[in-house]
Amino acid sequence: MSRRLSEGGRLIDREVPLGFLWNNRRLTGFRGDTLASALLANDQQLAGRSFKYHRPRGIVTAGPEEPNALVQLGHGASSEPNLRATTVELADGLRATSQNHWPSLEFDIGAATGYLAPLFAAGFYYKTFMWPRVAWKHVFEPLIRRSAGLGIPPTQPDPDHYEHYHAHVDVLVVGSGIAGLVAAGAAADAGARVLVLEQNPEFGGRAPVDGITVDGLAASEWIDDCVADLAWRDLVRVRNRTTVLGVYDHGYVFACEHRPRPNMDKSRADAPRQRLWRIRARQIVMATGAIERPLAFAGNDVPGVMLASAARDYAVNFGVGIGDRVVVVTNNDSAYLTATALAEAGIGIAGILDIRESPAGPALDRARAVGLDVRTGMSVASVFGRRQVLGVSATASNGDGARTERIVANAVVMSGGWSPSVHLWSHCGGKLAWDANRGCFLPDADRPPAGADGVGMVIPVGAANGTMDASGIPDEAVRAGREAARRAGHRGRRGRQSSASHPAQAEDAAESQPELAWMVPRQAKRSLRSRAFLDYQNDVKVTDIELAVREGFQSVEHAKRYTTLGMATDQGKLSNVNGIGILATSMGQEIAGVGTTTFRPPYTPLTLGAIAGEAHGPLFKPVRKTPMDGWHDDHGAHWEPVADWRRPYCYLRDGETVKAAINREILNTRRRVGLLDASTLGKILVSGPDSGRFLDMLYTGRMSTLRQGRCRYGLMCNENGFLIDDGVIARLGEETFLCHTTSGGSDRIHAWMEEWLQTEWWTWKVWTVNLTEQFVQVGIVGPEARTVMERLGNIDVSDEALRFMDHVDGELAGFPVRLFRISFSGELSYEIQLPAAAGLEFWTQALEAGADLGIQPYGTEALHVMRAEKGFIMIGDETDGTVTPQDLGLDWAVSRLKSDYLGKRAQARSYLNAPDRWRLVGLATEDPNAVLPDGAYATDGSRQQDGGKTMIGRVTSSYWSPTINRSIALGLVERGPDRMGEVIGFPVESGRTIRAKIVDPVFLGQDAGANA
Amino acid sequence: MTGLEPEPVPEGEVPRQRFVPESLPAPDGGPGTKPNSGTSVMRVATPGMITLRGRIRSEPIASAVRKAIGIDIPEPRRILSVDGRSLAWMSPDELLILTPLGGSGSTIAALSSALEGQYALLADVSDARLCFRIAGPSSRELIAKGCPVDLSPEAFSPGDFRRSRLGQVPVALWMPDPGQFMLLCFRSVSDFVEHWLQNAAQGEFSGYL
Amino acid sequence: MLILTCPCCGAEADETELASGGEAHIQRQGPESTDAAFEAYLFQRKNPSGVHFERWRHAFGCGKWFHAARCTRTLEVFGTYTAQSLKPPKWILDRIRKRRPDWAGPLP
Repeated sequence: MSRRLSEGGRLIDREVPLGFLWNNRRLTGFRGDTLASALLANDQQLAGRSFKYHRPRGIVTAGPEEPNALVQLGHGASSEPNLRATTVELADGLRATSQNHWPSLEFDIGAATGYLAPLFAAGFYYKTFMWPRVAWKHVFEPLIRRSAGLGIPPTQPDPDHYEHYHAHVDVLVVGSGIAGLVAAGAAADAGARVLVLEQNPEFGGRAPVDGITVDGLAASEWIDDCVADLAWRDLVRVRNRTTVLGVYDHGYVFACEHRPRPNMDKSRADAPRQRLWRIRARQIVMATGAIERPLAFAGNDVPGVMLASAARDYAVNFGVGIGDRVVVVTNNDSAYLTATALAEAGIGIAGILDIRESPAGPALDRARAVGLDVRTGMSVASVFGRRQVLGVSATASNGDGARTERIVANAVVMSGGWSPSVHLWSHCGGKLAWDANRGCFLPDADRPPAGADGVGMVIPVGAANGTMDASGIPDEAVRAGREAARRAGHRGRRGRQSSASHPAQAEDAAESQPELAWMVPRQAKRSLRSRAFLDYQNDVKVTDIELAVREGFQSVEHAKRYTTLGMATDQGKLSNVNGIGILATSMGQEIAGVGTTTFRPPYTPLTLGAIAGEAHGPLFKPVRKTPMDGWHDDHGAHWEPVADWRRPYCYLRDGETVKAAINREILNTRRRVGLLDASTLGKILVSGPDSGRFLDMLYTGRMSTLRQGRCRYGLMCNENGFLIDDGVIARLGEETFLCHTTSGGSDRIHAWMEEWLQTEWWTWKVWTVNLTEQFVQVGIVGPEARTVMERLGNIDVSDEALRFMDHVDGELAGFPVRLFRISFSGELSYEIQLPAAAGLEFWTQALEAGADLGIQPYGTEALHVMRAEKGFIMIGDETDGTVTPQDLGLDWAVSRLKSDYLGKRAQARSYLNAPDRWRLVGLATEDPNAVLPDGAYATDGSRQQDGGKTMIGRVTSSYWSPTINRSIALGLVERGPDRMGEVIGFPVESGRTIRAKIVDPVFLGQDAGANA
Repeated sequence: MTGLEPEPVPEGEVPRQRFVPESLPAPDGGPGTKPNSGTSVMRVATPGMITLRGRIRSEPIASAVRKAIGIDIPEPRRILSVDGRSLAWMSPDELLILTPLGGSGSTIAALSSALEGQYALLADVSDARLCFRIAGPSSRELIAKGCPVDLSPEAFSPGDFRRSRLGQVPVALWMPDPGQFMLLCFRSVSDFVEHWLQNAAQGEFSGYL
Repeated sequence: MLILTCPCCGAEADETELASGGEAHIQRQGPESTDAAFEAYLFQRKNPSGVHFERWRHAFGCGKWFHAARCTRTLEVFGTYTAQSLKPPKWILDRIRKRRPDWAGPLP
């Protein structure tokens, strides 16, 4: 049966029918429909099931505040769960399914919990499922997750793409109702750059639906003129389909622009599905309107019970009638607009129940004039029907609901007054105040969210500011727009005074104040209160709040969390104020005293895709590459991330295992010659009259005494005394040094140097330049290294001319180079530094020069094994931010004579000198084939007070050494160097313990690999 | 400028295409977008580059630079170009000197002798960074997808030089003329930046600027 | 997501260009310092609800450190100033007092 009215529907195009699938049933709507309006037109009231009781629920709103009609859209990889049917634009071929039902929407087994509702009171989950402990993980949690389900996240990668956009604006106007549009025009007139964002496809807010006239024009006409005028002004940008989600510090705002799905126009497949706007606004005009509140009465969640404003939207915007005998129940005038609008559309009104004893005004007069049955002092006692409204029982609104009268109806519309949408005011610290007259929380003008200048950065206007009467809006909005422009630094009046955006007058059907009633009838018995829902999505009822109060959860923040009121995906847009009203009533307090919880961003949920933007796949994180990266990739590189770099872990040959490749590379380097891309090492130039003094402070050793042409190994500590980096320092000139850092340390250590120079020793004459990216560095390592070097150029690389730890400038392979004779493997080793653009060419020439000598590139793992064989430490392996040079037996690299260096004072603290500190040793497993797991802990068999095993050390590096044909490991062990020869146990997986002897950390003796 | 090979670029700022929203729902439309009409991203030959660390506003340093290069020290966050060479203001004590391709050596020699005896540091950094050109009507919007700087014509125009971030990496930006941007990034992340820029250029643009 | 104007380059820097460096005006304690003074230098930091002096670095911009005086409660920024200062300059203190007449001055 169709509920599409024969006429009306200002947003739909009846010429363009659209077919869509709802739970695999083919239905039809029109272009301009939302999914919700199309479902209602097809008489699909039932839209979902509630979380806890699996009660059948219908569409209750026509906007983003919808708590019930959550749907899953699409299928497969681009499927998206938890969308509100009320904000999904209908498209041809759209597929939507309802959520949280099993096996079907119409018949849901979980609904049995509804009969057990008394057991599922507030705090049920906190009180139940507590015992036995193990059952939580294996029984309760899976059960709850399946029954309290939202939609299903797709398991494949999202095929759509998303992007971010940074926008800067003087005045951001949120909302395009009369208030927003007028404020935008006024701000632009004053010379401000303005951006207007509207969450819906259409502009204008509620004005066109509510029959407002502006300067004698129907609101929709005035709005079309005004948007057209604004959109072409140089200073103004207007966007629809863009929801402002959050307001943050200093006018940072994020908003999500979305495209309707599915994307039917393949030619625009490049367009992002969603765009996250990251806006810097100097001022924000909050013209976000207001959201109507439900009334709490028994059965107010039966499908067919709807907000009065939503019923009006469906009739006026979409030409959909929600029933043919409608009961209206209200505490204010605005529902009369619905009654007359529905009556005009030919829908039968079964009666208007106004809970007020003696309401009066033009709205009532109009209703009575068209013959509607207005019954004052009355309310709904209870709704009949389970899956759809069959009627209501009416009763005196001040009574207990005992005496009732039955009214047959198939829909109920309700209005409990309006809550201004003040979310954005609250996001960044703005406070709210309860306005008892208007019955709502309003922005407290004295406590606004402040910008960097300490002045309020959000200006509320229109219904969001409590101005419910359209006639007051134009003047207020002009003032708000001008004030926003003024605060943003624009006082001018340049530009024209557009008549379109400066209406003199707006008129609507006058409003009278609501008469608040948090539960109707006011003296309702428990049997009614326990069926009156506050939070539809989380199934929080009036009696749940009352129970929370009895159990002592009286703070609004406690009551919210205990009952989960307002904690569902709709974040309490409908339920918050009614819940606070019940809370206050239960405690016998005023609402002003109870206060409200704080709205947090985002206003509506957003996708992870929008948050990630382009940062996924190869753009997830920057990968740093050396100039030889392509060569490595072509030659079997098995990659390893090293800080942000990617480096070859090893080079795999055809059919070779990783382990075999590593062993081959190590043995080839130790026996013949290997080639290492060491370009990732940090290279920082430090120069100036005070450079020696500066490096003496930075390194634990003394660098100022280093002679030109020589290198020295240096350690850096932080002020806590712990190692942060190491590397070789070369003195290039009287005042100039080149400091090598670890691969991960280049930016960090350069920043560390600059920090001390800028913030502590700013009178010292030292300049630094980070040259890491300027140069590549290539290691030529092994017994045949000298021969390769001799073939590459005419630098004298003899032991006499270039001693260990010497460096020299020269030319190799036709390139200017700086040559260092330094070694991290114990082998004869040269490191060649040259401009990055020449790196690849030099690399290939070096390979050619060593081809007949068996030169092979080696990766980071071979590098690691070879350094461990020699007992050399690695920052990040042997150190973890709590290890001192002394712990690692590196006292020789720490100057005792220097009066000061970073970390010296800390290293004098008693804790860092305790005799039982864990210190570096070698670990030789009893079984030479057993390789200790990295990070394994040694225990001594005793137990701590808490029953845990006493740990006495851990493995910091562990490898198979093909050089000495056994496993090797380095570790930190309590009093380690004092326990040489002792065997300790490392419990590993499945009850096994690997036993290892404490030995010297240098595995490869002086006789082997000692050609450095 | 700066010895970068000039490419034909439309004279002056190309008229911007404004996004005008429809006030009626359009189920087959996208977010406010305009198609890419000729905005392109290209790696360009990297100029010679020199870092100068020194008190660049002090008279001895400024006059030495003027003597060696013939350009005044630029104001903060500005770039000055004369005869194929440019001075870019990097920080209160750092300049980036751009020279024609391969011209860094002779410029360093000239600077070194002019700066003789001064407390300053020169380093050839020609290989440390790579250069991209973004040209076309939507180049501002392309960069604004990943850069937090206000790139509207009122806020950023030729002569401005800004170090900031693009996506997750540091970059420097300037406009050699109103129709195009130059972008410098470190060499190691140039593949990432190129991918990022190409990805941004493939999509549509917000139509905001 | 603060915006701080970098006093070194003049840019209105978005927080994503900045790196925070904690409390400003901490005096380094060297090898001669007492245990108590050194402990305070390493570990003791103020955490006021209100006026605070902080170190920031324009990490994705000119690379310079600077100091900022701001209110941790309202996020109002009183000003940014050179990192080469041992205590807040008078003009910053004057500006804070103008905005916060009841302010007792920097915490000891």
